[in-house]
Order: sequence, then structure tokens, then C-alpha cells
Amino acid sequence: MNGIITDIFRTSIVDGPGIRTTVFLKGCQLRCIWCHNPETQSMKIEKDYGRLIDSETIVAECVKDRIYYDETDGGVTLSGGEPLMQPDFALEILKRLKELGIHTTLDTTGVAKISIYKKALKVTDLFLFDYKVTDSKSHFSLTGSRKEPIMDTFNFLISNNAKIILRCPMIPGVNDEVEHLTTISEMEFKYPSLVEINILPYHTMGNAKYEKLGRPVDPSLPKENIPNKLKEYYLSFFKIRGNKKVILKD
Amino acid sequence: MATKREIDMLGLDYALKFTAAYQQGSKQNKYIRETLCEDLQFPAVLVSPRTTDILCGKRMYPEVGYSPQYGGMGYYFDATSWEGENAVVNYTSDELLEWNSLKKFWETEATAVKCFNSFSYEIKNRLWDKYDGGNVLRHPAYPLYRMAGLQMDYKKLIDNGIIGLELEINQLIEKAKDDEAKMFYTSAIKSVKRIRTCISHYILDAEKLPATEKKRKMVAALSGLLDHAPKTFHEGIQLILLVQTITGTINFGRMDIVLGNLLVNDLDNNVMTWEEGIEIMQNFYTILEEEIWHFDARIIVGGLGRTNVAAADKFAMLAMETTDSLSLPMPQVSLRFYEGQNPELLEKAYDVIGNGKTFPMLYNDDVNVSAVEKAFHVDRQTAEQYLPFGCGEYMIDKQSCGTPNVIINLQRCLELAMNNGRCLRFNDQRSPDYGNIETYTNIEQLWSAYENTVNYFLEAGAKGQESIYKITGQECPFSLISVLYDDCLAAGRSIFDGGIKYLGGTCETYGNNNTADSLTAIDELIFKASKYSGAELLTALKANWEDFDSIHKSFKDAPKFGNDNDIADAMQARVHEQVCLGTTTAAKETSLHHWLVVIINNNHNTLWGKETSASADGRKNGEPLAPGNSASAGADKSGLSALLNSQAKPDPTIHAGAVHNVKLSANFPKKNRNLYHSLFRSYFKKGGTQTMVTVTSRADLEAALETPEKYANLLVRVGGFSARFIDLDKPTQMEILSRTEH
Repeated sequence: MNGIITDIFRTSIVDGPGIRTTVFLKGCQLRCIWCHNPETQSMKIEKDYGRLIDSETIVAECVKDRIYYDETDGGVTLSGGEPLMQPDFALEILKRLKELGIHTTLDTTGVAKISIYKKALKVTDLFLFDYKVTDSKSHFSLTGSRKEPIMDTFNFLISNNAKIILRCPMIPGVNDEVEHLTTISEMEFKYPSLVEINILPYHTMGNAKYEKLGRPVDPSLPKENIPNKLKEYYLSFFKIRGNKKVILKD
Repeated sequence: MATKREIDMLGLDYALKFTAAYQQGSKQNKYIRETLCEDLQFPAVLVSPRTTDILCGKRMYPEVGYSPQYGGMGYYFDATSWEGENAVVNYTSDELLEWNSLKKFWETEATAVKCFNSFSYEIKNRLWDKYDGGNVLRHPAYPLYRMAGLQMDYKKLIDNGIIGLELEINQLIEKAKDDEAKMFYTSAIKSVKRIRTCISHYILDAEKLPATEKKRKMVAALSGLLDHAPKTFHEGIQLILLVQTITGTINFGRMDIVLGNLLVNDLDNNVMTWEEGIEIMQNFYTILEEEIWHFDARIIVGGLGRTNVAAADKFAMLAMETTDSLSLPMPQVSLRFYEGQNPELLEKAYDVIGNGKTFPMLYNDDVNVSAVEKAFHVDRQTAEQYLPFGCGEYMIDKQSCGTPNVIINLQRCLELAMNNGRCLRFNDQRSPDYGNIETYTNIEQLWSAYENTVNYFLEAGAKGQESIYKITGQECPFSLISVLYDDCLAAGRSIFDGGIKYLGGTCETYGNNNTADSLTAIDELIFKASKYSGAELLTALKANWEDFDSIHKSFKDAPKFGNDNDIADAMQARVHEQVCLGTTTAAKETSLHHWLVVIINNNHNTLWGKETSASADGRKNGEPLAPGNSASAGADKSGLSALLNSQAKPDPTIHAGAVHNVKLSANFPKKNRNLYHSLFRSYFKKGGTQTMVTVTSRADLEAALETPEKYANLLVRVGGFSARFIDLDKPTQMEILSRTEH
């Protein structure tokens, strides 16, 4: 089965446990203003980004690193974009990998239909589930998408005992209000089955891609990477509240 | 320290005396000649210790001298300090006349010149004589005049001491089988006594130092060596350093086997503390850093074939801890390891590498020992004594010489094969006309022309290597080295005159992976897809890709080695196999025991890149060639495991060492220690032979270009050697920057 991807990146250490191969699928319903993979938003093949590829070719590429997965409890992560924008393609890859005994992770925005997540549950070992903005109105204006269906998906996955790492991009002055941080903190206690909560500090590495795509970087975004002081603030915020599962990523 | 060792100056009087000794000796025989010259060299060239030293063993290589490699090979003469544009000394006209007459004499007498003169027309025609240290490398292959890769039996030296060696040789003299043996033994005994002379000289030197604890220890160790075989770690390492200094052999081999027992004995009996051991080692490392080229000073620890494992492991830990405690680009500590070895060694190694020290380099014995067995045609026990030396060539400890006396640029060979044997930039004929890419209709025709071109140079190379050994054997007994090489004393023959057990050598190949990527791109785009014609490619290459953006992009985007890509890696394997087997085949026409490819790198990838025309892998003229068995700059885009998988593929059983550079972002080992260890463990499980890791960050490298004074400790692995980044020339700095950071 064919699909469109931007990249297969091997030896990723930031997309789930162990050493992983991350496949970036093209297409996303959301338009988060801070998106650091803007090249994956459009489903179309663009000048510098995107290629048509067969799911079997992807699987074959992923299998090459099996020894590294075995040694480190790693595996394969589908990311994007929203991988489930190409549901049949994504599910086919996950299914084949599961058959081969390779650990699968799905990095998802939660925006796809519940019926698709029902299928995904069967072939996914771990979900990296984004939690971006607490206030519903802001959620819509910052991501271009309604929050409620996403939370429905989250609740669906939780009630089906999915393993979930909650991933929270943190953009200073954009979404890091106390209310949002407090909600994240509370989610650890409200959903004891969460494996981890990852705080992903904003970085400017995606800016070069915007330039290449001929698109402006949103002017409300910080001009620099998050300063260490702010990282420390986030950490202490969660520490004071007794959070044990919150991890600040690079 | 500079990457190129400058000649030291002892002046005209010394040069005249040395030359007179050489002339006088030449009237008799090579053994007497060597004795006369060496007696003049030592202790004259020795350099005094400083107040901060605890060990002695520094020397000069003056304008005229005798050495296996440094200064020049065998009897050498170097005029750079007194003539030419960069004359260091202004001599009077009378003195210059004398210098000129000396120069005239050595123009035919220097051993390297004699080697070249011994070449047949075929060798001279195919290998270029004008190797100038790598400044201009217009030709695809050159002979190198040196006896690199000598590793003496330091265990024998330590176990027997000077006295033991003297005893052994004295007994042999009495029953010498013939006159040749007798002359050799006589020279040999004198060479051992010369160690005494040098020790006595250093004792007097040391006495002049202010009274400190270091001086007291130094004098005690030196004095002890005159009296007995080394009894302490300090005495042992002192004797090794001194004998290395006198012989100019510049690598140290399996020091853990040699010094492990003395170290443990000292620690157990409170003769020395661990900290005192570190202090001695730090001084040792500092001296090596000052004295020896970045390309050498290998210290090997760990690995199969050790009998005193526990004690040797102790030394290994000491060596790695010393590396960690300093930030020096030397010595080149290398860890051999195998499944079942004390895991602490490898753990320690990963941590020291993770701290950005570039050492130790890692060698996987589970693959390498059987590979050496096959490549060198030796039994397993012998193969267990393989040693990486210099930039990464293998030799057999005290039984072979690994010297590479030929360098060949495969990408230049491909260039000639595409263009009737003519260089693309200057159109001059450098090899026979095997055809032109404009007329080839399939990859096999190009391949055949390429193979013929490579073999054309290799055939001459093998004969050149043989010839260099032959002349060296006739001219230079290297008696002290011979004393400490297996079989020489027993045979009554000096090392290169019938003494050495395995007379083999190596051939350095460059541009292997550019060649493979070029061939892949040509096959994919010209022969398979018919997207471009051979003529179009030639035109674009001749124009150095300028104004050929679209075709340039296509060739750049073709599959590349370093991405675990089956198409690219299959071509790389083909290129690898061809040159490896071509080399061994070429040696079949000679008396060499083996002649094997080494895929190593000093900075010839950068130097040769300047003279290599644009290539079909998308590289432009002037850009460096890929270092060793690494991907071309920035071509490894699929992630680290993909690079490692590609690097683990080439057959290790048909060559004598390949080096693999990996550049890691500092954050990786720092924040993901376990993953970082596991990653390399997996690579080695997959059959990886070797790796050398630079841990740094692009930001640091860029900052070091701006404010070098703040980055004196920033170490990088260039190819077969490490260096302070700020000491490198600009093109090499840019080449390091251009590598993918994982």
C-alpha cells in the first residue's frame, strides 16, 4: 500500500523508548502555530518535501535496525504530521511491524475518528498523545482545531487501557499559562495509567523549514529557544505539586 | 603540536661528522656503518628532561640522520633548514658550499633515493617519484619511503632488561653460523650497549635538575636499569620510552601485557600508589604528545591473546583514566575487546569517549581476530597478536612490519577510466587509455576500465613495496629493532635482510567511498534510467558542476553509502572487494608474505581532494574525499544506525584495517548514557570492526573558529589521528564541520 512520507529517520532517541526508527507521514488536520514540522502539514508532495512510498519498503527499512531495538527496548514510531490522516497506510505499517514482533509507537494529535483509533489500539504498543492547550477557545485559535473531539479520543484510549505518554509542547507566552500547567499536573493524578508526561520546550529548529517552504514564522512565537531559567520554573512547578511522571525533554 | 614534524637543527659540524662516519662505514659493511652513525647520533640527539618530567626520552631528528621513518627513511638528509625560501639559518658562503657538497653526496646516498633508483622503469613510470609530503598530489598513486609500523618485543625487553639482552647476544656471537650473522650480532650487542650509554647520559642530565622528589625518582629508575631488568612500573615504562626514543619506532603496542605485572606488583607492595601511577602516565603522555606525530603513538590495551589478563586490565584502566584526566590528542589509546572480557574496560572506554577525549578507539576482537587470520594467512594464535598502529593499519606484534609504502586515490582512477586515462582538469595522460564514458553502454564497461586502471597502479605498487624492503635490508640493519623482533637473532639476520618472520606491508587507499557513490550514481542515472548521457556528465564534471545545477542535484541525490541503502552499499562492497583483492593479487608477483589494503586516513583525504576533479557523487573539485571507511561529508542522512550498518558491511577478512569516524552530538552520551552504550554494543554485535568517535557539538566547533583561544581542549578525530580542532588547517576544520553530527 502506498502513502506519502517526508522522512524515515533512524536512531531517533526522542520519539519513544530506546533506539527507534521514526517515520514521518505527511498530512495534518491541525495548524499549530508553533509546529516544528510544517513540511508535514500538507498531504501533497512539495518541492523539497515528500515522496510516495510503499508500506512494505518502509517496513523493510525499519527491520534493518531490529538488533538496535532489541538491545534498547526500542522500536518504530509513526509521527508526522498526523499519521492517521493516512489511516490505511499507517495501520498497515503498524500491523506489519507488530507481526514481526517490533514495538510500535503512534505519535498522534488525537484528531482522527474514534473508529480509526479502535483499529490502531490493536497494533500500537504506545501512544504519544499531544496535549497542547487547556482553554478551549485558545485551543481552536492556536491549533485550528476543536479541543473536544481530541479529548474524546484521549478518554477513549484511556478507557481502553492504552499505554500513553502525554506530550505537551510548551511555548512561552503562548500556551504556558498557570491554568494549563495546573491541568497537566492534575492529569497525572486523574489518569494513573499514564506512562509519562513529557514537557517539550519550544525550540526554533523548525524555522529553517518555514523559510524553505516560503512561509512566515508566526510573529507571536519566541525568537529564541526556551531559556534554562524557564525550564527550571516548569520543573519546580510540577515538583511542588508532587508530580513524579513529568519529564522535561530537550 | 603541528601535524607535520619539522626537522631539528644540529648544524653543519654535526652533519659533516655524521657524513664522515657514514663514508667510513660504507668502506666496510652496513653493520659497522650503522654502529658508527648510531654512535654519533647517540646521545647527541637526545633532549634533556625538564624539571616537570619524571621520565627521560626525547630526541631530535637533525638535518642528517638515521631512522626508520622520522626525519626520513634509513639514512636521510633534509636541507629545508638551510636552503630554499624558508631557510631558518643564514650560513656564510663557505658554509653553504660545504652544505652543498653534503647535499650532492646525499642526493645519491640517502636510502630513500636508493630505493627510488632501484625501481624498474615500470614502477617509476606508474608511481610518481615526486611525493612532496602531500602538498601537490596530481598523480593517482605514489610510493612512500618509510619503515612505519614496527612493533618491538617490549615484553622481552622488560623481562630481560639490558643485561639479559647482552647475555643472549654474547652467547649467540660465539656460535654464529656465518660471517654475516657474526657481523649482525656484533652490531646488535653494540646497539644494546648504546641503551646504557643513553641512560648514563640521562643520569648526568638529570643530576643537573633541581633537587625534587621527581628528580630523585627519575635518577633512581635510570640507575636501576643499568643494574637489573625493570623491577618497578617506573623502571619499566622508562626503559620502553628510552628504547622507543633510540629506535624511532613511535608506537607502543600492547603495553597492558608488558607493564601490567609491574603495575600490580607495585600497587600490591605499596611501592607506588594509583595516583603516583597516574602521575607517571601523565608525564609519559605529555612527552609523547610533544615528541610524536599525531598519526602514531598507539597504545593498545585489552583484547584476546593476553595471559596476564587481570594485571593487564589494571593497566588498561590506568591508561584510560590518564586519557580522561588530560585533554591531549595523544597518545592514541586503543581498546581491543571481546565477548567475555571484563566489562569495566568497555564501560570506562565509552565514558572517556563520551567526555570528548576521542580515545580510546574501539576494536572488536570477535570480528578482527578471525579477519586477521584470513587476511594475513596466519594461525589464530598469531592473529590474536594483531596490532593497530599509526592511523589504523594492522600488523602482527613483533613479527611483521605494517608499513604502507604506497598510497592510491581510487576516485582519481575512476576519473581516468572515464576519460581515456586522462585527468579531467588538465587533460594530461596518467594511465593507459581504457576507454571513455561517452562510449560505454553499460556499467560493466566502465567497471572494467576502472578495474584495469586500479590494477595498473597496484601492480607497480606491490613491486615498489618489495623493492623498498629489499634496499632497506641491504642498507639498514636496524640492529636494536632486530634484537627485539622475533626470529632475527635466531636467524642471525637483521630485520629486513631475512630476519623478520612475515615480510609484508600495506597500501593506503583513498576516496574509496566517493568512488563507490560515483559509480552508483552513474549506474542509476546514466545506464539504468538513461536520464543523462556520459558526455553530459563529463561536461558537467569538467566544469566542476558550475552552471549544471539540475544534473548536479540528480547526482547528489543518488543513493549514497552510509545510509544502509542496499544499492549504494552493494557498489561500495564491490569497490572494496576489487581494491582489496587487486592488492593481494598484485603481491603474488612479489616475494611479499602479504600486501594488504588499509582504509585509513591521515589528512590525505583533504589534501588529495584539492587535486581530484569533480566527481559523479556530486563532490566538487577541492572538496575533501571521504575519510577512511566513512560516508562522504553530509551524505549519511538516515541516522546513526544506518551509518553504522553500512560501515559494518564491507568484508573485514581481506584487508589490514579500516577506520570509521562517527561524530556524535555531546548531548547524546551525556543524557542518554545507556542508549549510547547499547547503540555501539549493537553495532559490534552486527559485525562492526572498529569505531572512533568524536563527541562534540556543531556550536562548539563553530565557536572555536571564532574564538580559538577559548577552545584549546576541543579534540576531534580527523581520520586516523586526533587533534586539537584549533590546530588544524582551515580546509581540515571545514571538512570536520561538514560531517554529519548524529
